[in-house]
Amino acid sequence: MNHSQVYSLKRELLPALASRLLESHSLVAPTWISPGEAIFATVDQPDQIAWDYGNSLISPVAELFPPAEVLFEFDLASRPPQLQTPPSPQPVVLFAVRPCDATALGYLDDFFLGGEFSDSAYARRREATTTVIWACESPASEHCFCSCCESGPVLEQGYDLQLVPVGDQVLVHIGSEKGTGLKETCADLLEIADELLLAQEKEQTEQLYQELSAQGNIPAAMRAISQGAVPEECWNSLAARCMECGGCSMVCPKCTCFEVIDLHTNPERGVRLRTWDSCRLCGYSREASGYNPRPERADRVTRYAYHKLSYACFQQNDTHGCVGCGRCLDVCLGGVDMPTMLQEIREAMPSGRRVSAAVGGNQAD
Amino acid sequence: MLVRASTMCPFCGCQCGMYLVGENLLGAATIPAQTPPRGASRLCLRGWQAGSLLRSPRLLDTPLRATEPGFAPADWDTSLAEIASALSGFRGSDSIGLLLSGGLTNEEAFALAQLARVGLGGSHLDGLFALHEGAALTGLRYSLGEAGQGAQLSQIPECDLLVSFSGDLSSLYPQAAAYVLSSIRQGVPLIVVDSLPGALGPWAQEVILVEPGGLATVAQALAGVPWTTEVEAAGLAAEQWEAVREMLLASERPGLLVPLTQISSPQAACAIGEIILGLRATAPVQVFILHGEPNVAGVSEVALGQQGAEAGLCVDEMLQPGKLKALIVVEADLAEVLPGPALEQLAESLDLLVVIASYRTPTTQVADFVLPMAGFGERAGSLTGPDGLLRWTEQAFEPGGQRQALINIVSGLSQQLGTPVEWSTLEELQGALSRQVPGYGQIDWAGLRREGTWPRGTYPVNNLPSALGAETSISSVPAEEEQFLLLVRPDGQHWALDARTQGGGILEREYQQSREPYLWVSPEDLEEKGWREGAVLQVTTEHSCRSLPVRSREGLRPGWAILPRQFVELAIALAGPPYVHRPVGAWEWRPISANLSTHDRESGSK
Repeated sequence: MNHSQVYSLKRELLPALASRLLESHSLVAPTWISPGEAIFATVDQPDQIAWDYGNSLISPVAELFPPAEVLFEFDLASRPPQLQTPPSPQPVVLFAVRPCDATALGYLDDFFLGGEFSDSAYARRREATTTVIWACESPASEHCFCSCCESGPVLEQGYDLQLVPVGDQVLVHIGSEKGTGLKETCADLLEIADELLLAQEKEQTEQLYQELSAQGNIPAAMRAISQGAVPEECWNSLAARCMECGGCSMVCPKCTCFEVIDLHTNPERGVRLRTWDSCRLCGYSREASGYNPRPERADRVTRYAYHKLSYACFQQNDTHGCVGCGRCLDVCLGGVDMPTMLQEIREAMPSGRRVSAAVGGNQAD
Repeated sequence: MLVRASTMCPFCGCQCGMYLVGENLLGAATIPAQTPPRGASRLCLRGWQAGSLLRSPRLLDTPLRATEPGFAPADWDTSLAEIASALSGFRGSDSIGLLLSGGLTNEEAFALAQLARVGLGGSHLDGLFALHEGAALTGLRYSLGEAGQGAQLSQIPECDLLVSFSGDLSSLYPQAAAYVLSSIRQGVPLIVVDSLPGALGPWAQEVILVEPGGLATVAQALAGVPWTTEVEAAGLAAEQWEAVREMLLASERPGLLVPLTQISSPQAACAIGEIILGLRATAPVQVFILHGEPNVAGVSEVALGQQGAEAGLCVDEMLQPGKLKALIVVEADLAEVLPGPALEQLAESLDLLVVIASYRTPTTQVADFVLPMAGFGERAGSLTGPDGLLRWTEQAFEPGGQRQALINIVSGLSQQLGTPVEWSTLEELQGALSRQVPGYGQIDWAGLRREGTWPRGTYPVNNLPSALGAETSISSVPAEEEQFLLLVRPDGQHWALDARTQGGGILEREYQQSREPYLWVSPEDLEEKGWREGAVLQVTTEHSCRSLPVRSREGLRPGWAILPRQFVELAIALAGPPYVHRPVGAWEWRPISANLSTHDRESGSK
């Protein structure tokens, strides 16, 4: 966690904090669309914020990398041909984001902005966005395992402002200049956090960390996948259940597969659209010649797992491809979600090569 | 993320609840609703990609009038006036037909039924879906003496034994398959009763491989009719019969999954009904009825079921050239059941073909008039599930182009016909529906909008058939050496020919390789014959000879070949015209012997 000055806020003042932010910013926050179903959307009033939401149906990274977006309009009839990009987005505060989703945001930043080329559509949105984290004081859902993925229950870095609820108080951590700016808008609501509160925060986080870690099989799976040691029958069994809905990719905050489509209003005019896609789908890898390097479902399941969990991809990205939010478990038709996949890979390993699922565990069973 | 509406997937009959999100049509996307009975947290590929339907280049934008050649845009008033004028010549003459899709809302279907009854003076009315589902529905009603009200899919996990009358649920009804797989992982045993094990087979405790035409015999044996050698010939050996009967009788909460599109004989459905009746005597059996479209139950109840004893021509008869003078097709594509030349022949035989649709299809291409209607995401309305629950779908976007809400089109046409409708708003239409359709009188429409669901009352069944006739004889199938048994059956890839999956994007891409006809054979046959995947085979039957690429399918019995039913032209060419079950007009293809060979041994071999 960032070790600059930490502030505290009475929990009852959270709506006041949101009101203060609303005075100067557009606020995108979790809001209920029906009982038990929350989604990130623009809110006008603090009482629209679902403070006690678990996980949103779709990760708020969708605000920066939307399911479908216009990259530009084209007019090839003009001389020279014209490309018109959408107007720059207005500044927005992405409010009450869970640490796991914020971790994914950091991954997307690297993916879209970190290489030789920067994705301009993503860059425009990212520049306009300030993130306020709402750390977990209990597991956000029964399927969470963020602590195994170094993505929660609180963040060490990668935020502008982080709110950590502790009892009737909320600790406010500042992680960037943008965060400092936000803090200034509500400074009169804040106090400097005392040592006792900081100690309580540490104890709460440690307890939650232990609780969330109990569900993880990541170290064992990473080793098995990286060594190519997962039995073929395991991949085949997983593949046989996969119904190729692509849902895992649609809800994974770290998935970056996309498709680009030109929609023509006439032969020379139209829009170029980018939509979410999934490497679990057969057509995703098919090349223009018709050749498909991953024609079988098992090939695609293997590739997905490799990209998410191999050491090679870990080294390349400095993180693995899962934040432990557990959304894939909710949406998967066939039970080929990440937690189940991790468990089945671990169980498929010869017992001598199994790795303990305990926190930091890497001893043989 | 802007949530535009709570709606329902427009594809199959699983009735998956979803939210339509996005700032505009170009950004439209879907996310699954989580809480049953509205949602199940999950969607299949079609559900996840349904947002793309709103930006499909195949969407119809404007009324069209056939010209020579092609079509010319027309305005609404002129189109409706010309259609009404043309229809007026046939009113009351028993020569107008309306064919509906099972994807219409209850309100739309009810409005069309009123148009048929009042505006058109008693025209023929049926659903295109009856060709593939009517047989099963009739058989179930015959044995149960009721509509066979089903349970909600979310109740599958409550069952301690599951019996699926299809091994192919994963491709045909993914949401149902998801519940089944989830139950299996909890230790619930599954029995698959089908001609091939399908994707569910490997997880089933028992797979009863039914011989073609043997489903009724097998189902009767499962219902308790004593086992005979005929049952064995139908695919159920004595030991397996005993084992499965024991499982059925021991179950305290059995669940039966009945995909209507895959049960093509009323006798088989009737026997399944007998299983249900038998189990009901000792246990609270759950029946999960699976339709091919989202609102087959609702359209059947509010439109077709109201015809009573005056029911006219059934769908099969309406599709025969010469039976009608004018036909109105609503949101259905006749190309699903009529091969190209047959569709053209039907269109030529009609004095007037009006197609009301949201997407361009082969049927719109042969119409005299095309009226663009508001489709998925563009209209509000209710749908009825086989569980007797109404589900509300909200309007997410204003209709694009000049598309109009179907109830407004019906209202406008009725006005032009000189028989204005008695309602002017959706609420008034719902009031009329409540008054006229049994079981719908207790619907609190405001409550339905607010809560998202509302149960309808008991719906009485009309037109129970007096007899079902005999099932197809198994012995009619010759089993000659070196010949294959060619079966025509539905295949999950049938969506490839749906106009909605041909609008660009991921759906088009994923179904691209299933648009051209193909033939399934077993991996063993592929290996033994030395054919490679994709090799073009010459398929010869007593009817004709066609060339088809071959695909291998796990679990398919050696010696069998499956032609997916969606390639209807080939099905008719190779297997002959379908047998028609009267009086519902449902189609069934009988198995037929076929010779499979390669044109060129070199190119077909490995």
